[in-house]
Amino acid sequence: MARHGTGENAVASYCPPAARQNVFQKVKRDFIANKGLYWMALPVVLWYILFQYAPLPGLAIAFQDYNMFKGFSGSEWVGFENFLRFFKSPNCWRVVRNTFSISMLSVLFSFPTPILFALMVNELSARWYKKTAQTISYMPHFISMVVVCGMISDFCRSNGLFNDVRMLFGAAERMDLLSDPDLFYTIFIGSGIWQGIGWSSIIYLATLSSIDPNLYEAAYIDGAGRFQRIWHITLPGIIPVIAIQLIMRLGSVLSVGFEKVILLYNPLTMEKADVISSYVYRAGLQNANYSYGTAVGLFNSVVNIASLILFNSLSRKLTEASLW
Amino acid sequence: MKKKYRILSLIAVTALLGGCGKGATPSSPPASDQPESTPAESSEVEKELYPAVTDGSVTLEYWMPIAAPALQVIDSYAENTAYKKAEEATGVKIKFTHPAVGKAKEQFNVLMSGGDLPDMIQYASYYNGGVYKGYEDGAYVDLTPYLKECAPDYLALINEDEDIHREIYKDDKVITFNRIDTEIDIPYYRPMVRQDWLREFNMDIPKTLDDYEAYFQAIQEKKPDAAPFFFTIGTGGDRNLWMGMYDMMGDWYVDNGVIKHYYDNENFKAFLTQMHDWYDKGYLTKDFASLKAEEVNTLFDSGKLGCYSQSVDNQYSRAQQLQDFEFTSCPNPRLTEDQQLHNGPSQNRATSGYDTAISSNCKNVEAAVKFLNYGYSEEGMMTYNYGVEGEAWNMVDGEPQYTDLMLDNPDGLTLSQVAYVHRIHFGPKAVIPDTKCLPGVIKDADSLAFRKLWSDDDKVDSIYSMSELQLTPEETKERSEIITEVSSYVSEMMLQFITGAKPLDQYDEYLQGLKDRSFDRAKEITQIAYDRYMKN
Amino acid sequence: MFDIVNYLLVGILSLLFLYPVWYVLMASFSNPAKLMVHTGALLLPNGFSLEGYEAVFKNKNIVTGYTNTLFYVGAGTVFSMFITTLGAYVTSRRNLYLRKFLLPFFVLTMYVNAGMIPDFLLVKTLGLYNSRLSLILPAAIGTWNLVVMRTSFLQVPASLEESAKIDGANHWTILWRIIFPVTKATFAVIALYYLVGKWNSWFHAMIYLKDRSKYPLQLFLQEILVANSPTGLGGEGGAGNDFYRLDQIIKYCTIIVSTVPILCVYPFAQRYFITGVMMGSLKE
Repeated sequence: MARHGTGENAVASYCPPAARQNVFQKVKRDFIANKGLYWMALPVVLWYILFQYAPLPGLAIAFQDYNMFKGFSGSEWVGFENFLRFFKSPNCWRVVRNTFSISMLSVLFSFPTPILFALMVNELSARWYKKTAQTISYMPHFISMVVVCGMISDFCRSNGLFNDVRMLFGAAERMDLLSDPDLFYTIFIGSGIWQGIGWSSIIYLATLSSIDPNLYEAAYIDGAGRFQRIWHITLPGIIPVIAIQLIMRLGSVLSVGFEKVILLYNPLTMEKADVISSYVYRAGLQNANYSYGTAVGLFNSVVNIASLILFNSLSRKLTEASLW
Repeated sequence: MKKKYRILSLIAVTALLGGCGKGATPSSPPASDQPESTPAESSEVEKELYPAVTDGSVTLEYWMPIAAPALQVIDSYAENTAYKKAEEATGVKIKFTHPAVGKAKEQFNVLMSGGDLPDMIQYASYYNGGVYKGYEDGAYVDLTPYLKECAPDYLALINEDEDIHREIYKDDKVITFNRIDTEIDIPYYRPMVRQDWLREFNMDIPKTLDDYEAYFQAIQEKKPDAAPFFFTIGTGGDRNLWMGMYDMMGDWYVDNGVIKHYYDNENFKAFLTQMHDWYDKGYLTKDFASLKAEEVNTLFDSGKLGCYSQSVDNQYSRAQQLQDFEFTSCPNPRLTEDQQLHNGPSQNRATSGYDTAISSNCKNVEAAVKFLNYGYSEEGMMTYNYGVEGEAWNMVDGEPQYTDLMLDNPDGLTLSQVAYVHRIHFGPKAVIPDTKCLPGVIKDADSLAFRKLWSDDDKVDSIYSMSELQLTPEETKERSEIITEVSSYVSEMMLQFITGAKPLDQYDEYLQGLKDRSFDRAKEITQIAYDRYMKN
Repeated sequence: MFDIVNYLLVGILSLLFLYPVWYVLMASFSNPAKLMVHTGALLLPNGFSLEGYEAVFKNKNIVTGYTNTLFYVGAGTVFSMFITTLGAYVTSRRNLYLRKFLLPFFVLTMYVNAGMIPDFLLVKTLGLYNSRLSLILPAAIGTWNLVVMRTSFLQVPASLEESAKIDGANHWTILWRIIFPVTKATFAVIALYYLVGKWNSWFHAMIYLKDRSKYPLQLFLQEILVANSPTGLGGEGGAGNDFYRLDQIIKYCTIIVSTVPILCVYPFAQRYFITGVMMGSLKE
């Protein structure tokens, strides 16, 4: 079922003017028929209006030179100055590129790995082994980011665990891994995989467990080998889920959270590590420049929405699976 | 499942580049001829001044950062005995509010956005655009009309010296209560080396670059488990110490009326070349870019590091707990024995760190001003610097002497903890130097001598020292926008040059990069502000 | 053959997942002095000692933080579940015309967001600044969770609802007696999502709270773990920190103390994960 736009007006634009009346009448009838539901919906709608939509006009500070003490009404309007400042900044290209790189790399690596993991676990026949492995795999997800990054820093030190492993594999000398810009993405994505692979695999495992076992039986009888069974039965079973997940992921192509980046980067890796969110966090710090930050954030949201729409349409055309 | 990472607007993060560092460094040249301030005339007024409130009806909210060591023992400064005494003496009750450690600046900014300000705000200089802008915007109250009646001690103190007057008065107005040094303190930050190793290598305490190299080389040969040297570009103290021999300071400085900085200094390349050389040779530890302060401490204490820079008192008190460990501090490093260094301690007696302003939300400004004045009054000065008389110290032969409460605390508090719990270390007050009142320093002759070591080095002066300038709000905005970009650019470049990720023959590209980022303009602004400042 | 390799790989991965946590756990029980100089792997405590935990539990902040977090997580999850369930239920009623508008109304907010300062100003205006409610109300609904719940509600056979309606049940009854029992697994999963999210959150607390007495555990953890920057105590000219001997181990013990409850809770909810997520993910 397709959804067109948001709210009443968007729907109305698809109806001939004469039929516009019907919307309000329909709602009225609906209300009478489903009073209980309307009352139920009330707190929810209120919450959304209050906490999600009400702050939106605050986005206007992106067009102001917001002074935190003077407040919204006391600050002057500067139009697109904040946006221009961002686009002119020598770091602009760098942070956008990095954000994009990290995002794409994570799609390339962090996205398929839970699927692979799910496939592997799904093939395990010993139930206890399967369960234990799953339970353990969720564990990293529950650990807070600060702790994870603390551990990463520890392990990357020249006398840390990772270097111990490197030396075992014949590396030339020990080095501080977090100081090498070329390694930043590996460490960032790698640790992300470590933390998320178990938890993200749940959705795939869930879908896999609903595939009809008879299909496997039949294939087995027909002489299909392990990989053939996986290729022809298992995978097609989870393609729709994969597609949806992928769309959602691509919809946040410029979203890389600042917390982890800030905890892991340093001036040596800045060239590759600085992303939009960490840049805003930092560049604003000395100025407490909320307008600037909001402006960059707005730019970011716009790009995300655009890419979400783009990928959703693409997906709909190619695979018939789509978010809306 | 995948949390949507919202792109946040901003939050001011802990000032890694200087939130507290610049402001709160008490330091001094060896011979101090600044008179110790004795607010004698005002003691008359004082008798009428305190208690300021007699019926206990006034409670003021005071927002201030709290130090981590204090948090190990108490929940808030409400339990600090010196503050309790202050409340008693002034009759003003205080409600203490503290931000999260390390997030003070963020929460300060949030506080400012909120509009419901506490009565008194410490670290008022966090205000975006400067303290004066805070006043112009209506956040802070102009204190000038209140000073004569309600803060006579403070008034006397800030007017006794031209420099202090210039620092405090902004456009002829006083907006904040600042820390005022009664004397310039002795430097507390120095390079540290292992004394037992020096003995082993048959070497003297290093003074020149060559001495250090010899020390490092010996470590490489004889102590392979240890890294010879660590320094960080992120701390002003480290920068000043190690750039000093190249005739630069680690931040803005003035040379004969001309504003300079290390960013575009003619000797910067030489400095980088030297550090790169040390990195290549393995003297400078490969992890120097990412090690954290406490990790470095641990490395040095456990014999894995041969030399780094640290607060003398800090190192001394840690060393007490270690076995088989001898260390010593070194004088400022220099190129040749007879080089004249200019990286002596800052001559600012009024610093902006931990300054307190009164917010426009305060309903009883007189009481607030009187309370804040306490730290500069005779009794208050002693209480804030030494603690409560009779409990923390007693006057013996005209000199304050600490009791066991401070030096050998019955509840098991360490020396640094008592410094925050039974006296006030950071905060607006008339500051008595560490060598007189910091428990960790004066607890015995040894620690005191240790702190004083090298302070009589006559090859070190402070002629480059520059006061904190008053920039107009426009200047502040323009300059800080430029410096934000420039300083992170410099950090990156510096590290790349030192580690060799970028070869030094690309140094000119770096200079061009500075130009592209309008550093010249920032320098210009600073020069204008300095000239204006000196005319006053 | 495939099986052997598979089992082996999964086994190695499991060890990888486990080891860092194990390391921290072992370190927390170690002797502080020995820990300071330790390098390399840690399979067992390095000199068993409870000193670290003693220090942590003596710290009043930890206790305050825990109490607060338990409140925020408890009350917060209950409230979130309540209001999310309502939203999911309403948008899953096929005969409701309004749901055409409701769902996009909700979902749009996942992609459009005002940012920190407008959010903060709102909290201020509502008078929630420095109130414990500021950690419960603004974060009440995660739209993603609502959508997942809704999808699982849609799986409930219409026939069940029909017969209940015929028996005169109103919506609350349907929700409680029909929907809930069938989709219990999803409830468990969503509740866990909320619970873990709230347990680990600190950012809102930092912005919305002024009194330290209301801080959740994670914010104190931030102080301990992150506040030690290179310009920390050494460069400040402060009175120093000679407590540092325990600094490192306090870190580890605090991590364990603040993570262990979660680690204990989730295995029990585990069995609901698969079913719950499955229900919530199929397209209608």
